[in-house]
Formats: sequence, structure tokens, C-alpha cells
Amino acid sequence: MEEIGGEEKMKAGKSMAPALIAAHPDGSCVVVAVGAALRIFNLLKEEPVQVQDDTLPAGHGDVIRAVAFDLHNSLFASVGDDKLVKLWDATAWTCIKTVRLSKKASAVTFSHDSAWLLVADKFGIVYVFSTVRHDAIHKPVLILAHCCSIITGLCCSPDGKYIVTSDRDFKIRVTKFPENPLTGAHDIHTYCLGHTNFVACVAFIGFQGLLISGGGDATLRLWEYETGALLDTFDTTDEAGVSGQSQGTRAVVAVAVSSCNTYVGTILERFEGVLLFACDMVERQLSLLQKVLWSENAPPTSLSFDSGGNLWLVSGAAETVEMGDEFVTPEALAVAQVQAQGIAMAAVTHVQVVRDCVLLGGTSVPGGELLLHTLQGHQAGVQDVTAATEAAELAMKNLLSKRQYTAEQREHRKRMRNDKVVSLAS
Amino acid sequence: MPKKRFYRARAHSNPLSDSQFPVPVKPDEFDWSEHFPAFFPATEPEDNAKDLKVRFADIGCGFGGLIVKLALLFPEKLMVGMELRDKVTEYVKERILALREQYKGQYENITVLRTNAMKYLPNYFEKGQLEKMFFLFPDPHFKEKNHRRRIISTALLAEYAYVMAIGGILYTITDVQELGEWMKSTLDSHPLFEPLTADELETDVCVELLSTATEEGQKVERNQGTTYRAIYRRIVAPKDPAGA
Repeated sequence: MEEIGGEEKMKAGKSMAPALIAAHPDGSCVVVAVGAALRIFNLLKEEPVQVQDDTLPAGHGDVIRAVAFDLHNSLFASVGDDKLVKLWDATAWTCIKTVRLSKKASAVTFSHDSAWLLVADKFGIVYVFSTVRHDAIHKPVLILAHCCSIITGLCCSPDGKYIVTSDRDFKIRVTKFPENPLTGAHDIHTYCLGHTNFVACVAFIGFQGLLISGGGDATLRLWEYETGALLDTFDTTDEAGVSGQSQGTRAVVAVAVSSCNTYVGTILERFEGVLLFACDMVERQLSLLQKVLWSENAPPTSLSFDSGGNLWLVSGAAETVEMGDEFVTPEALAVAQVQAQGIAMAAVTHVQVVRDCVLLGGTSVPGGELLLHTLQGHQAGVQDVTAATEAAELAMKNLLSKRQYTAEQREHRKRMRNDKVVSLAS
Repeated sequence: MPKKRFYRARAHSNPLSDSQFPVPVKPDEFDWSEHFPAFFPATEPEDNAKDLKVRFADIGCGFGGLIVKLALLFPEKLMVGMELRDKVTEYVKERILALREQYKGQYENITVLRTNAMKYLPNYFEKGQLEKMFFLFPDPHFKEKNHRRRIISTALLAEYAYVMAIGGILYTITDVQELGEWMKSTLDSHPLFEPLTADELETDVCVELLSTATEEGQKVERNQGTTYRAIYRRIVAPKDPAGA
């Protein structure tokens, strides 16, 4: 009964989306996406940056769910529950183009050569777009799909040969990157199978064919993506037990790999800290280097390494604007966007930086107080951040986990089915 | 022999809903020996000549008419029927046990699994394992909103291509014209499949069975309905440098 209660509560209450953080590969800026807004701080000039968006519709109309930088051309992409894909020039911070999908987006990445932008939606379809400013194709082109499973992670291998997608059905799929992405990626190279719950995140390590993933089974797994072989499994359950609360396992929320491949940063659900791993490229295994904990009650929701080896962490979340399933008028959409921007403006986050396994205290972070002020929001109280973060993590876990029903609950659900209800009434 | 009337089930089941049945994490974790006891004897066999991998899969096998027919045609090949509906699977399971009991030494090479083939094929089969896949009279899902539930789609064909051996044959048949055209055009536009020639169709023993073996096919025949077949071979990607 507890599960059913939880489900109803989810439908009634507002859903929360976790805050995201991304550092520019050239080290010039840090972006925090919270709600529908992007908060950007230029680290070179030490000043906040305002984005300029002349495309239609301007700005995101609902929470941003995924962001990505490309490696070479200073591009940035943001996607979210408003079904919009926005491609940004990450130097001038102007919007290059906006494309509308038919479903909410869940993941985004650039191809290795930066020529293509790949976006996954919640129905498990991956679309591809050219990153060229004015191309003839304005409609999303389907490149591959998982059968109706939410795609949680999406990335292109550093050798340019594969697209890796992870989903909530415990799978990681390795697909050959096609010569012409607009005709689709049909050739599945292999699967990386071994997770026993949803896969939450995937990332590449180095150039020797290694892939790392984390998920709802609280494990971090190292794979050889050429063969799909599982090389190493690290169970984070014991490491995360320290903070005292023992309410079930903690899903691995996100992983990030430092640019020189020395560190793998991992954050867990409801865990006020970050686990730093080293990956032995010869033995091909993971070892825990350092557990960085902090006393403030702020479990991080996203992390990103910058080129200088700083690990940026953010905690926080913002409410989504639920539009429901009914037809949405343009007026309602405009109202929702104003509402979403309002929520994003008021949202508070908590930003932290770890350098060489040590937490940089307070205002000693790069960019100092002005950066914190820009990225965290105006009155950043850690308590608000914590509550919002926990709600967001719970929402994410409820979305991705498969519900387990006992035989009794299943019978009860069957009796409540629409067709049965109608036949009882008549 | 089990009675069908004790295994009444709904005609359709939602393939998109979350499964409430166990699924192996990966193919080598699945124990086929209990499904094929005659092929996996308790003691180590002297001869390793037998192929112990499942080679044929009937997706949405229903009451199992096709695999029962195929069992005698290809007695050395292991084959599996996959069905999403619980009760129907139970029926086929009982039917196979009854057949094995009745005809000693026969029907040892077929089994049935309750699973969702749209989601879990890679959990049961390795890359390039299957030589034949059958899709007989699948649900038509007429509404455009429900087209993503169709068993033949561009995205799912990539998964079928993954589990199929190069040269493996994919058989589809339906009595719904719209679906027949959909399956044909979807397969035609897929780079990893090519249609069989008329001669090849003539000589393939399975082709005849498509419309006669299953309960659904017999029903269509009784009503003198038209059927639409689409039979394709898994090929190497045209411009694949690795050659797979």
C-alpha cells in the first residue's frame, strides 16, 4: 500500500527537477541550470553573463533537464521539460537555434566532431540535429530509439565510433556512429549488461575504450565498450552508510571524469559529499581515492570537472510547471513560461568546489563571492536547498525505478482498472 | 493435452507497461537447461556436437501452433516461443509438456517464455545468435498514437538485427492490409535487411507454415481472408568497413 500511496502523492504534488552544473571545456565559464534559467559566470573576466536569445520562443518555458558543452567549437546545448532544444554559442552566449520536440527531453550530447547534436526524449527516441546555424532541416530526425524506455544517459565515444545510450531498463547500448546520422544509426554494436536497476549515468574514461556507468543498484561499473565486457564493479553502499540515515540504497546520481582522466567523481542520492575514484588504465579497475564530505546538509545533484582539475558541484532543485495532457494554448504556454522563469529566478542552489580531493571553503572558490552570488541565487539558505534537492531526487528515483507490487496489490490494481469499473457500474 | 478454455486470456497486452516477471540480467545468466532437459543432460555429455543455443524465436507465439509444427521439421534446433500474456504462456507450457509425454523423444527442442520481446531480447540472446525470427499476426495497433507499440518498427528492427545472425531470416505475416504495408515498407527501408527472392520463398519450408500453422492463420483461412507476408534476410550493413 505504501507504494500506491507514494504514486498518488507524486501525481498530486509538484515534480522537482535537480539543478545541473557544467564547466566549459576551455575553462572560461561555469553554468548552473536551475529551473528554466541558465546562470553563467565568466571565470576569466570574473563577472556574471546574461544570455541573449533572439530565437522563438525565447528562453526555456520549463525546467532544464540536461545540458552539454561540446569539446571543440564552444557550443552549449540545453534541453528540458518544455520540449525545446536550445543550441548556444558558448562564447558570446547567444542562442544559435531552437528546435521543438514532441516530447520532453531527458538527455543531450554532441558528437565527437561537434557537427551533430543528439537529444533523447522521454519516450526513448534519440534525435539528431546539425549544429550548423542555418541548415535546411528544422524537423527533428530520428537516429535511434530504445523501446519506450526513458533514456538517462547519452554520449558519443571519444574515438568517434560509437553512440552510447543508457536507459531505465538496466541497459547500456553501444551503437555504431553512422556515416550519415540523418539516415539513422541502425547497427547496434553491443550491449553492456550487468546493472540490476536503472542506469542513471554514463561517461567515457580516457581513450582506451573504457566506459563508466552508475545507477539505481548503487554500483559504479567499468566497461570495455568495444566488447560490452564488465571489467569492474564498485558497490557504493558501504561508503555511503556514514551519514546515519539508512533508508534503502542510494542510487548513483551522476559521474564525471576529469579532463586528464585522473579522477572519477561520483555523487549519490541523499549523500552530502562526493566519492573520488582513480581508474587504473592498465589493470582496468576502479579504486576509491578519497571521500570528500561536508557538514552542511546539501547533497549535490550534479557535478562537472573543469580543465584546471576543479570539480564543481551543485545542489538544489526547482519545481516544474505541470501542463497536464490536455491541449495547450499559446496563451497558456506564455503564462507557464513566465511562471517557470519566476520559479527559476527564486530558486536557490548551493555551489561547491573540490580541488585535489580537498573542499574549497566558502568564498575561496574561483570567482569568489560574486560567483557564488551569481550561481546560487540571492538568499541561498542551505536548508531550502536541501529540502528541494531531496524532493528532486525522490521524484527522479520514482520516475526511473520499476514499481514492485505484491500479488495482493496487483489484484487490487486489476480491480481498479477502467474497464472493470465501467462493467461494475452498468 | 491442456484445454484452451481454461486458459482464456485477453486478446492484447500492453507491451509498454513495466514487467512484473523476472528477466535475466544478461544472456549467460539464463539457464536454458530446465527448458530443454533432453538437450542438457544432468551428466556431462560425451559428444559436444549438439548446438545448445536457441536459434529460432517466435515472437508473440500465442498458443504455440508454429513452434509445435517447427519442432518436428527442425528437431536439432532449439527454439523458443515468446509471449507476453501470462495465461497463454501457461497454456503453451502445458501443451509442450503434454506433447513430450505423449510422443517420447519428440518436442524436446521447443519451449516458451513469458517475456516482453520489445524490451528484453538482448537479455536472452547474444549478438548474432538467432537464425530465424517469426512475427505471425502481430497486433495491428491502428491508432497513430499506438504505432510505437507495433512489433515491427525501424527502431526495433535494429534490435532484431543485433540478435540475428548474418543470413538469418525474419518472417512476418498479417491479415491486416495496413499493417502488412507498414511492415513491408519498414523492412524495405532498413539497411540491414533485404527481401527474399521469389525462388527462395518457394523453397523455404517455413513460408508455407506461416499461414497454416497458427490458430490465427487457420482462422483467416477459414474466413477466406487475405494475408500479407514480408520475409527478409539479415545482411551486413552495405558500407560497414568492419565487415561484422
